[in-house]
Amino acid sequence: MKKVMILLIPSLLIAFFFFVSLSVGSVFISIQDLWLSLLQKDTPFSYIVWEYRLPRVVISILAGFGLAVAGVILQSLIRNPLASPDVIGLTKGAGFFAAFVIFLFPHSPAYVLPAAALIGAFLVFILLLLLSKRLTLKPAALALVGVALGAIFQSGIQYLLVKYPTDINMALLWMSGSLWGRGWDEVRSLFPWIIILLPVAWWQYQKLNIFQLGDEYSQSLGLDIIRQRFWLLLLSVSLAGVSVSAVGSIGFIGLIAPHIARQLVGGRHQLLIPLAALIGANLMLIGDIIGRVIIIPREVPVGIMTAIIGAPYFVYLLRKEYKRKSY
Amino acid sequence: MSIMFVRKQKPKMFLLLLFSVTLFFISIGFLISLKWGQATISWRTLYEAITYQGHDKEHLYIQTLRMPRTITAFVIGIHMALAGLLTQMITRNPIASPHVFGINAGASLSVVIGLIMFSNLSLTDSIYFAFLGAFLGALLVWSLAGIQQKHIIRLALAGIAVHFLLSSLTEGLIIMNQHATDSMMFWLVGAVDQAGWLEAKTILPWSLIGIVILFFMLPSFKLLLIDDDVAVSLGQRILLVKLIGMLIVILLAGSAVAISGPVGFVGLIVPHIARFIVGTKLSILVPLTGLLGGTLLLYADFLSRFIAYPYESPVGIVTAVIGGPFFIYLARKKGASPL
Repeated sequence: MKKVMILLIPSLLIAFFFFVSLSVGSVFISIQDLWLSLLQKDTPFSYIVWEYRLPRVVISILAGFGLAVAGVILQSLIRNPLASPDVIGLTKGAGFFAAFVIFLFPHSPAYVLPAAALIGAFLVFILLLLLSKRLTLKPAALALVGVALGAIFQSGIQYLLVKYPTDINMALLWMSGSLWGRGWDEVRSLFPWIIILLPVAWWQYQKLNIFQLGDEYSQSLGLDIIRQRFWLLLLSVSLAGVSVSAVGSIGFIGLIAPHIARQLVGGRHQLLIPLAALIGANLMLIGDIIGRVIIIPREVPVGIMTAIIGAPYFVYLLRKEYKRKSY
Repeated sequence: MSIMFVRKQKPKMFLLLLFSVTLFFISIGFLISLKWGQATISWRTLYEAITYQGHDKEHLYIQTLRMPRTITAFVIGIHMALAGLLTQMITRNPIASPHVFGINAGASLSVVIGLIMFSNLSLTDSIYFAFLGAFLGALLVWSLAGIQQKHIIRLALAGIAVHFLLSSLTEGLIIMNQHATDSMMFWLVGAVDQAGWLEAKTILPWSLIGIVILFFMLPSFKLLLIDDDVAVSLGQRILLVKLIGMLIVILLAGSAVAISGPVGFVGLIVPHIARFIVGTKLSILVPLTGLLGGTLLLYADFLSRFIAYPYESPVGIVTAVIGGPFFIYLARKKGASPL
């Protein structure tokens, strides 16, 4: 019963924020109008709701799922609470390649973009493995290499923005992540990936439960660590990559959502994975809603809002970690 | 700790050669920076412009745009490199720099707040805002990481988290108020391409003050090369020395950020290169670090004109691309020894 409740509450919150997100923004839509617009397509607001807000909300939820679950897997696998798609540079790498495709091949078909983002995420992952070979046991050093990789790819993104000058919304999308101008195209390219990868991730819960015990235990329990680690990382990198291809390099969701979930249910992945996903979606929705209403008619990109919410938590986390052990 | 006693005696000839080579590269850097860019200037025109003999469009272009820009780049490089050297010495942390330390991002955020609050804020006054921000950024990082010299990586991670937070705030503020990619790049990445004589003149007094205090304090900074415990037992006020060092860092890095935005990684790389060449003898290391920092930024600025030709790129992009791999190298270097 408790398990059901703990998943039900964040789901209800998502439903609540779903409607809030549809009704607020530069144009406020009342509940009745919103309801009418959703049911029939010819009300004054239905265009805004169907063409602008609905795809946006759907993308927030999907990307929130993707980033949060990617974070859960990474943290359990590396057994480091600081590991997350952004801290180790995955989101910037994916963002760089996605931006590369958008600026250099603006007319390429829709499926190219997630693929490019995936390649970027994988490249970072491979670089991380190669560069931290001797240091895999020192998680903090791994984080440092990731941060540096993130900085390099970040300057790559900035370079593209200078070389192919665009409007500020485009720039923001790739510098900090934004939902501005995201439409059904992005939903279509993101939806299949998330819908397939999420159940696959959940299905791995037993392995993840074992993994967080440590390599020796995992091995003695009969797990082929190297192979499993490879596949799980592949899964995490894919989730992060496709999410970034739709929303840009959004920070901190993949770090905070798993942590909040872990505080609530501990390390049991059968619950942790769905809960983290739900919390991730909630955070995305909240960040987007605040970003949209804080300075109407402009908007603060969701990536900045999540960073502002997330960075203090990251700092708190660092303090707590350091009290436990010193590097 | 025995570093102080194993003073590497470099022969005088070597030092003479080293500084002449550095000066040679600086002169070359100045020349190419004046000559090439979006427009190429002929040697003859260049000569006339430098000696203030011509008054054509091209002469004016050199005199009012390229000359101040080149000088500013050089000075910013000196500031950042010296600030980096000092942070590394004070924290004994090989990966410390004003950038990884929240100082750059803090100064940047503070100047942006100042510009929003007082729309007619002058360049001179914005420097004070930068000092305040640099101070608060450093304070935040130090309060998070503690000042014990053991936590090398902890300081860096705390610094990066604070850097993330502060630059997101800066980004948010710029979006709310200006909504322009240019100013965002400037306050997040750092650039010198808009610097004119006003910028150059505004920063020079601060360079002078910072460098004079630095040289005045040089004998005391030698304390930072030995263990804290040893220094204390010798009756030295190590905390005071560290505080004065931090003050100089804030002075140098803060004024640089107010003029050029947070140009990163110069303060990380240059001290390591300089230390590699001449060791830890401060009376040689400090001037060399400064000169090499200036040189690096001269050439980085030169490169930044061509990588996205015909558009100018912010010089911070170039320094990040050079600095990122260097950071990885430092993080990987096994048992990166405390300084």
